Amino acid sequence: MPRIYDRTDYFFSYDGDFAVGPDKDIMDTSYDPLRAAHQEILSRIRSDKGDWVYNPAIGATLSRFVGMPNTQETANAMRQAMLASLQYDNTVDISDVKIQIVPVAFDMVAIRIELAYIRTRQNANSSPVTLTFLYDYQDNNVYPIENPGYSVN
Amino acid sequence: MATRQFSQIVDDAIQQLAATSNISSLGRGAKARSILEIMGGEIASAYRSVNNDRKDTSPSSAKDQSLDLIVDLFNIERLRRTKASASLSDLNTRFFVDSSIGTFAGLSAVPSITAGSKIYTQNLSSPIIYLVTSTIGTINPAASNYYVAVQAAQAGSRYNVGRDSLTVHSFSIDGLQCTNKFPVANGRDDESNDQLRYRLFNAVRSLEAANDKALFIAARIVPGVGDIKIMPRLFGIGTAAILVRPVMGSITPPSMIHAVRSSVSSILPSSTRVIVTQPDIIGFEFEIVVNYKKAMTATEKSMIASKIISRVSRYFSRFTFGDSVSFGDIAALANQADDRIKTIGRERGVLGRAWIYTSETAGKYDSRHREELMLTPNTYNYSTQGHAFPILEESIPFPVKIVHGTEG
Repeated sequence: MPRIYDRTDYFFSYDGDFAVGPDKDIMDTSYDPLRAAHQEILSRIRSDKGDWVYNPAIGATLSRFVGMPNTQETANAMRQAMLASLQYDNTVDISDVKIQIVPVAFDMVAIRIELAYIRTRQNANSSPVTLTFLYDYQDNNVYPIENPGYSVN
Repeated sequence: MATRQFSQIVDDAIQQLAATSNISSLGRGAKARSILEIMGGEIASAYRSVNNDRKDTSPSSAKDQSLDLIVDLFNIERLRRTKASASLSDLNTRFFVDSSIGTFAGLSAVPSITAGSKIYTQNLSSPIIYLVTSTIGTINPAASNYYVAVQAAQAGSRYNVGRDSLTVHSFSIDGLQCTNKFPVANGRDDESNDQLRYRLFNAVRSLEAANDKALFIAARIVPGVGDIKIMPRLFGIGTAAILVRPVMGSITPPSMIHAVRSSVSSILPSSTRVIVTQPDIIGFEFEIVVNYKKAMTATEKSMIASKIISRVSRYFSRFTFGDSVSFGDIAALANQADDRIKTIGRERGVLGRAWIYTSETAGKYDSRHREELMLTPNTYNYSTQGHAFPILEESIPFPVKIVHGTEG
């Protein structure tokens, strides 16, 4: 049974910016109750341990897979790293998380993270919490493939 | 100021934000929480800084340099480490000839014991080294031992030694021995913060007792003391002078000075230096130039001069030694003595002249040792600090001389 992940945080773009909301205040994610969970998953996957000064344990530290062979074993290790990171501070229940890692090139994998959640009246119109990345084993970068539903201009 | 920890600050801010906004995602890694954590970190840092400053400025918690600065306000210095030593007059450390040989004449060679010669404790792995600081000149062959002054090579209490410890020397002469009859134990470590703090508290407690009133009483109760004057900071911060005058005569005997010094020293903190002395006796005279509104007869001038002298005499009668003279007051007194006086003063801005006599011979002031003061409005006050004033001698019938100036 998945959990309810409806919550509100300050909006944070893929580029790492805050935004101004329609009320001219700092924009929050109340327009989509699942956006906050989406942001948190994204932050953790893109972070290394130690990046967050006050919470140094946050971060999947995918950088440690740079140079490793693009194999099933490596993919499993990456999955474990991401799950451990997402589980920290009980941010998500890992039984709600489904991670697929698919090789798309000799040195690149596509990572798809899907969060199962309870449907509520508030999130009835929300986009599903599904994040897709490309991870390059050579240049240590996580490239989010932006969900059009979350783009903010 | 109670210190607030980072976690307290962030927790409070989170609760506040949750209560006053629709932000509900406040777990670790949430964006709103990140902002609060950054601000909380800065605030906690400010708290720490303030708290550290407070600790550094409070004697009970200040340490090291901060404590040194505090105790410096009370003229106290941290005692620094010193080297253990024994002087020649201590008759402690000596070189001597083995009793089986008898005297220096029996040695295979005459040792050259000079400043810098070394003697050691018997610990072979890490002996404590002492340096001889005196030099034995020509050694008498008939002598059997010589005392020397020594000092530990290094400072600190761990280089103190017990009696009969310094038994090894650097001379390769059979039968020559050395030792110390008594411990050399005056080497000291740097005074610790706790020790210094304890000394400071004692000094402050003493200061509470050694206020001016306590000093006055302690000095005044000495038999034969007629009057005293406390001159604070006469020799700088942390100093005071006590001027003592006897009941009889004008010269304070040294025994009275000594008795007052003993009396006040019992209530003084170590950080306060009080000089007990007798006041210097100076002669003082000045002239007042009187200008009249109209032409005056000699008799009228004489009467007015008498009035002025009378008023000025009353002014001086209230004086005790160590008080300050205001020439402005004197000029005003003179001006009010009679309606026919127009102004006081020789010329614009100059009230008159005064002389200080600094040398006295056989009860008379020597006019060769006098200083002249120009009494302008800028030199109104001549402080008689450290001087008895005015003690008049027969050679100067009265210190005020009336000079008749302009008429009309």
